[in-house]
Amino acid sequence: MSFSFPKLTRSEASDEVDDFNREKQFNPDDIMRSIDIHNTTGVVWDPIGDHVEIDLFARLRKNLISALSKSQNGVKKTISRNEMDVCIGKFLFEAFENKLTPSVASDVEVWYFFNIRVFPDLIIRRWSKRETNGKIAINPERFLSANRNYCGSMWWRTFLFIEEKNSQDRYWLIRKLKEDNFVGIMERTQLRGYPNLAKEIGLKIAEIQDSTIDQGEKQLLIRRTMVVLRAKSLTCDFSYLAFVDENQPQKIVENSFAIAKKTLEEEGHRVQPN
Amino acid sequence: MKKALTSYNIISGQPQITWQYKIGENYVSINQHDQYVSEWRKGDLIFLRTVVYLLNLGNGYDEMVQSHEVDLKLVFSWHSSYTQGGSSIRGFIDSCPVDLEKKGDFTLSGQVDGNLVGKQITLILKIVVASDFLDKGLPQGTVLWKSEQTLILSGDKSQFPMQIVSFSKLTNANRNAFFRLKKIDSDLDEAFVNGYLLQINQDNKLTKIINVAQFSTEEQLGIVQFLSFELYKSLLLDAARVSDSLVQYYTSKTPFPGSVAEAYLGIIQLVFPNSAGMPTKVKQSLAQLLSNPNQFDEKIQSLVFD
Repeated sequence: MSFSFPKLTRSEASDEVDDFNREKQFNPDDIMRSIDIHNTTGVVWDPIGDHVEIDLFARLRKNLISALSKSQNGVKKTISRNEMDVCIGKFLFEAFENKLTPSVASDVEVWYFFNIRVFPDLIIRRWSKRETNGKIAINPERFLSANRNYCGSMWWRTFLFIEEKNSQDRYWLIRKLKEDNFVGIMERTQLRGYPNLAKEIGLKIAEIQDSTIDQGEKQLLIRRTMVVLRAKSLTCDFSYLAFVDENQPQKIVENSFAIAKKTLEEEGHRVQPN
Repeated sequence: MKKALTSYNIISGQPQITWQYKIGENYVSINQHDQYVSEWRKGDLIFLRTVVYLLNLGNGYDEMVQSHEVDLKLVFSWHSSYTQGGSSIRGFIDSCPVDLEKKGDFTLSGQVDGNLVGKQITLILKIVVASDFLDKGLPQGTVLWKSEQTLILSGDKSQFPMQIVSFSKLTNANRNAFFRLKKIDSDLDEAFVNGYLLQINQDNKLTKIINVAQFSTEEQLGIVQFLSFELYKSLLLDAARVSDSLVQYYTSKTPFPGSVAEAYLGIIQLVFPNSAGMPTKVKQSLAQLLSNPNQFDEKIQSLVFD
């Protein structure tokens, strides 16, 4: 069973982002008022697969907005950017269950629909800056780039770092890691592509962050571990290792961490917990 | 697209490797890098098989394997990249020991879940060290040799964008037509899916009866196959119209996978199999196409329906 998601072509998506700027000066309130998810003008579909109902997107938006604007004890809670990222990834991941597979998610035109027709105002709130002349500016990459579009990158982040085994909070690792950590793990050519390995690296980074090592040394240790891992990946077949032993991804990360720690100690760094 | 084969020094020369895939009933040989698989639909299982003919290993590995100083394995795996420099997934398919006493063909096969792959899949065959031989400086998993082959999965049946729209609201559209192929961009470098849009008229009587949006997968396949005839025809006529720039393009560079130019050339190759690959013949084929529409119709029909 395959599913066909609503999509926007690249030219349609670029035009609509241009319109956000030209007609609404990227004002999130004006853009929010103009959202009409059920208006499918300009929307395209793959010819094969069951169409995913537009209603699902409208419900997703409603539920997400409600979650983001929760209040505590009658006081409206200010949500941090990191919390917003986790929340969007979680809602996207859960709303479509088995419909939104990696195969579907690999099609950036699917994300154009999410970014431009469903959540444009949220993306502006998350990524825009007010310039000195008072104008709102946002990098169009957050709507259009294959790697950096907001909804797509939050879905992939959730897919790679969700902890299915943790029944208390499957999203704790995503909440814990920093933007730099995600970029480091997901965009390093040789390390990306092994879902379990990405998660193991994330777990190790979280562990280092929680340790009592000095802040500067922590960053050094994380960076050096990543360098060792990358060097290993050039000569070693991680997919084979993961097949012969399911604990191998963890062993690979532990081994790289041990090498990184040893070499830093030899260079005179204090990477032992205080 | 980079050239696929990367050899380390364990095997001298290029070993004979056969790569095959199966989407439907039978295995299909993969004869070229970046081979286009038009029959794949998102979610379809992909069966994969490779046969490598191995006689000798170089650099002293023959002797080391025979005396069990090192154990090697042939490993068949895959990689699917979703975005350049971004997310991707890799997986394991099959492995077998490199047993040099049974020199000759080594066959590896398995399947990949179609829900995990993007618009292309790279098949990777490697010789790796099976377990730790640290005295030789060879930890488990060390890659000693590698060869790759890529399949492009964005076939026109899975990726051609479709829009259901009222033709009465469109300019320059026949309000009673069942469908039309709208050309969005004429740049030959443009991705094919961005270059064209298949619009289905929601006001058309046939559309109302069959309710396109509610098609089952099989019905959708049927209608796509029916439409393919007209789509191929439209694309070839387009190619004929831009024949000069197409030939110029063809002589200067190889089209990138998924581009409008590649789609044109792919269809020309299917319809005129003896002329593709030779730029001057491309132009002649297109001239022939325009001058002899009956023969063209027959060729296209056999291509789409046989």
